[in-house]
Amino acid sequence: MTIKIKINDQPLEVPEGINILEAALGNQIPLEHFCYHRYLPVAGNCRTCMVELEGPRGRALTIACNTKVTEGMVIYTNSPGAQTAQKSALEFLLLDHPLDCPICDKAGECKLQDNYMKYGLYDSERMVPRYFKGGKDLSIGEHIILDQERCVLCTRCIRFVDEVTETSELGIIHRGHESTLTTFPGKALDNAYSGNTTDICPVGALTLKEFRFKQRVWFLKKTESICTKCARGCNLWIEQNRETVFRLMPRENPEINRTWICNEGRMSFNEINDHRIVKSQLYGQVDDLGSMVEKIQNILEGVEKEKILGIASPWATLEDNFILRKLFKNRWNLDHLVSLLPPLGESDSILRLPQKYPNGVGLQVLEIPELSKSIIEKLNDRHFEVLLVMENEFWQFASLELQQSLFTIKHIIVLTTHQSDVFQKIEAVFPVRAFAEKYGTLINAMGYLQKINPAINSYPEIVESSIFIARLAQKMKIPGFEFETPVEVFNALSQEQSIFPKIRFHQIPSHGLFIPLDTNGVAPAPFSGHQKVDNVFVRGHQFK
Amino acid sequence: MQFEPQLTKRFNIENSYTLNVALQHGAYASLPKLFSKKPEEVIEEIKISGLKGRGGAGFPCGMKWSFIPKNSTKPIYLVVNGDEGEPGTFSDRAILSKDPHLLLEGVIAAAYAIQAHVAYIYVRGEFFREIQILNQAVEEAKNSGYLGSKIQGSDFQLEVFIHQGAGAYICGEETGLLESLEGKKGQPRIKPPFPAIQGLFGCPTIVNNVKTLSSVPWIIANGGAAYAAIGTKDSTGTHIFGLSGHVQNGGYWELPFGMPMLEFIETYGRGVKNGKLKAVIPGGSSTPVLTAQECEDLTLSYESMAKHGTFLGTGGAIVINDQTDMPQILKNLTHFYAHESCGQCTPCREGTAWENRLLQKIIQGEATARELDLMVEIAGNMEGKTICALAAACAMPVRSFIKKFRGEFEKYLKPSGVTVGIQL
Amino acid sequence: MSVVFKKEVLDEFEIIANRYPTRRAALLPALWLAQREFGYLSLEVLDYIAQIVKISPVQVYEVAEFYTLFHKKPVGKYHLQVCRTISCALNGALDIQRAIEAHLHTKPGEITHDKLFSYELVECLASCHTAPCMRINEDYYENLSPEKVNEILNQLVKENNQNAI
Ligand SMILES: Cc1cc2nc3c(=O)[nH]c(=O)nc-3n(C[C@H](O)[C@H](O)[C@H](O)COP(=O)(O)O)c2cc1C
Ligand code: SF4
Ligand code: SF4
Ligand code: SF4
Ligand code: FES
Ligand code: FES
Repeated sequence: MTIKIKINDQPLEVPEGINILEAALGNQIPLEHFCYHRYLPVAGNCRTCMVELEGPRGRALTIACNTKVTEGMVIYTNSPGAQTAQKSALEFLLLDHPLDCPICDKAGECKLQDNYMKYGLYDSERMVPRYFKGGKDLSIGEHIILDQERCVLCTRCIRFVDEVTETSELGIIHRGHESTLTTFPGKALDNAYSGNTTDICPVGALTLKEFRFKQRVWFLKKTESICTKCARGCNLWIEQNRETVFRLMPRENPEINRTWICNEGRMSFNEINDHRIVKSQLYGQVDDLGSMVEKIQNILEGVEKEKILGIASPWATLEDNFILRKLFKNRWNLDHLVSLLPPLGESDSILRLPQKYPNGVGLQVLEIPELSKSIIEKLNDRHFEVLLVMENEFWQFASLELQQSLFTIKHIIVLTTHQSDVFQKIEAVFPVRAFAEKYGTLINAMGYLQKINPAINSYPEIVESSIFIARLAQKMKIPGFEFETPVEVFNALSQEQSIFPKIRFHQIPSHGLFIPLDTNGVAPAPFSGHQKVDNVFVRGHQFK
Repeated sequence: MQFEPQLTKRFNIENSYTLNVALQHGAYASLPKLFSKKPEEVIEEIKISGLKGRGGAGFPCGMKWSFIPKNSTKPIYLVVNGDEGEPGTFSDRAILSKDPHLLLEGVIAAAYAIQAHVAYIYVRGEFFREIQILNQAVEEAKNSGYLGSKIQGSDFQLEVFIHQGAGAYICGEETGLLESLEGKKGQPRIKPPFPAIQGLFGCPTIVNNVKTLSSVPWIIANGGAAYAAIGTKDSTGTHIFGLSGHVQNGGYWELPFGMPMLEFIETYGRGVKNGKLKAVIPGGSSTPVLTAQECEDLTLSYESMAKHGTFLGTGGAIVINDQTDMPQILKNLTHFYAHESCGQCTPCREGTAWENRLLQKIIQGEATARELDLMVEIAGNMEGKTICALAAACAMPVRSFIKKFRGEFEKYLKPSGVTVGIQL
Repeated sequence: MSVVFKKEVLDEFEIIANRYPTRRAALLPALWLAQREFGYLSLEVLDYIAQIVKISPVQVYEVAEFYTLFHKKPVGKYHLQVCRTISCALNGALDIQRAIEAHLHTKPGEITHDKLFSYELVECLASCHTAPCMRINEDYYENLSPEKVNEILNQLVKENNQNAI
């Protein structure tokens, strides 16, 4: 249901139940908002979003964020009355703000800084000395620094810990001008989602330790991606400069993660930069790629059809697993392609799911089963001569017993992204691109097909698992592997797998494509028990 | 003035706060009549009476009660506002300590009208002794069948609890009060939703002032029309008016609406103390100040106050003599509002303190006319732009003081152009 | 001394808590009880109250810091709250403050060395018609003058000494 309204004399049709602020933002009409957050209850305290409404007794001021549109409503965001109210609210906010932008990590994406040039008061206009509340550089949690002086008391962070995590570590003490954001003395802001408070803080009052003084935000380039740390597949921005990823930021997706991510996902940016393997290794020693590939080709060409075991990966993309599967199907015994899954991890009713990998559902869709009893029996019988492992660091989680039987296989070939000690035991290790470096698709636990995109290209010489395998297959003269990029692989697989609509990679929307799947692929919806927020908004308009 | 006291009739009787004495002097006499009416008839009677809220906003009481949704599936609450914190106001405290049973009788009537079965009386934390008296009154009323189930043989049931505040003027604002009752900071709520729909614990709630509810028993007993015949056309009934500040005899007196302000000051306050009349803040510190001259044709009524650009407010007038320095008095008030701002809305949190700081600078002789003009501008940017009326309550004195007594402020000023700000 | 309510106080609290549909609504009453029992609300006390009201400590901290009648630090045996607001100011509140400060040698917010008196300035006490006024502990003292203040303070010292004997 839509209704008709007018903003600044412009006739608009907007969804019923929407508030004026969302109606304006959704139609590219700018309107400042400090305290409003689409996924938190309305607080209405900053008073920067004031608009005028035409009424029977003339125009009246109101806040846009707490006023739902009604049929025929006439709204002004730019009338003199509205503008004075908006401007004065900003003036008030800037009154005693320390303005330490040169040393503030928020600089460049701070709502106050944006307005300072327009509305900041010079000392001569303020007419009284600046009042400093103090309280800078307070470590209030494992990841969080608080600057009380910069806080504009919008309560976004408080509403987040009250309503989303329900951990309530933050509050405001004292009254009036002395109001100060704080934790309980001696108690930390340490919940699994605490990093989000630094995103929603409209100023530099809450900042992330891991990002402090690391990089100015205006140098960062952003790429749309997906978190790979659990099956929720939260939507991310990868933010990098000169091939170094400085941070992962949540990317709004109303159905999957709203504007939140968990700390584990957020901190996984370190893995993108650290301990990468970039050269092929023979029993742990760097060796020439060309000769190693030749050697492996010989092994693979020589092995008996039944004697090769493949391990696919819930961390790899659909494309990677698809190509591996195709090779097994065309050349060896498809029954001998399995996956190894790590044990279930921590989960909650917010976002985190126990499956600590992003593409378990993708494996189900490709019908790649988990390691079965019969395979284990064959392993124990020393049946296999070759083990081909793709992006599956089973040595991190598999039982020692299983690891032992796997390591008894004569020829072990591993495609992987990160360094490990076990490489000494492995005949051939080939580096492949990690998720921040490649195109690909993943299916999250709710059944959304989602895209990842290359944010960095640190190692142009290495390729994706799918392409590595495709090239190997081509070398082995197996037909049907003429792929140069994962995008081509996806376009082929979407034709082949009946479950997908026949679409091409670039047609997958950036917020994912819902694929109706059997229930065993579908996890509980996020935010169960979080019905308190029901703001309606214009789809497609990203909330920042 | 000849009239029948309604609110203060038992004030001068010894031990009037005990049930026995109160009963001997007519307490709870309106109940049979109350229970003979349907709840909607009670609301209608209050509407006819023209009774307005005495807490400061003057909202028609009967109309407010009628906002409670019919057939609510949630419980309905009645909350009594006994937070009395507006400077210049002190008569609720008198009712609480001298005639708590009058209030309870009004509470029963109001609860019956809106069909509430639980009422909370929120009392200012400082009123420790009053709370003791009130608790005893509730206990006695309960033991004698005036509270509890089947009140006086009717089917009506009501529990009353006393809730002690803890020192915050803002808890007088009705939604701040509800937050406080729920165990939070007394920070007013954004509206909508309004309390009548979603109030205490998310349920339909009516908040009324102590004096408003204490006016109800007389209306039930004598009828709305009889009440409407008292006072003036738009200000019906009686009210407890207060006088403080520079008067010989500070105090409170129940009067029908309509008495001239100057007569009130002369007759009851026995005239201005230590000087001549300069100004009156007519209805608690938040209402715009009036000059002596403006008071000449001012009467104690909603409409006369409105005509003079001010408000009846709480009915507690503060008298100021001609020996008084108005900037100092305004600074006393801006300090009050800066101290009491709950701190959530930007304009109020920053504005109240900014006004106070500017005024301090003016009084120290360090300011020019620009500071004075800035004060007026800030007041404009606060009023009507916040969640509750506290920002306006600060802005109104600032504007009216500076407008009406500008000369006194200017005496403190340096010639303009002397202060040179440091550019950032 | 670890801060926990005695059994009787805990029972008293539970009776009060039953008056409200949410447990949190009993927070102000709980803090009043705690102040009565422990004299003032230390962080340790606040943490304990959070446990019995079943909310987070910072939510108790916020509330304790919001309301002026809750003492966050120790107060004297006699705690003076002197009104500074308009009607009292018009009637000599400043003289009252001076008299107190001279008599006790304290400034607002301080406590005397013998811990007998503490003194603070407060806003309107709703006794404007009997200005200037103050509260000492739970009682109002009205129509004050500097002489009357001295009398009251002397009387309290005497009362205290007598109790000590
Ligand atoms: C800042 C502020 C303080 C208030 N303080 C009180 C108060 O102490 N007592 C009171 O009855 N109403 C007070 N009010 C008015 C209440 O919000 C509300 O209008 C009143 O309790 C409604 O009752 P009534 O209709 O019976 O007057 C205050 C309002 C504001 C904005
Ligand atoms: S710390 Fe940031 S998010 Fe929290 S209240 Fe302050 S400004 Fe708002
Ligand atoms: S919940 Fe899962 S997908 Fe989302 S950020 Fe955390 S680990 Fe990543
Ligand atoms: S106007 Fe002032 S007191 Fe009222 S809600 Fe806003 S900040 Fe609080
Ligand atoms: S965004 Fe509307 S009041 Fe803050
Ligand atoms: S001003 Fe002091 S009691 Fe009201």
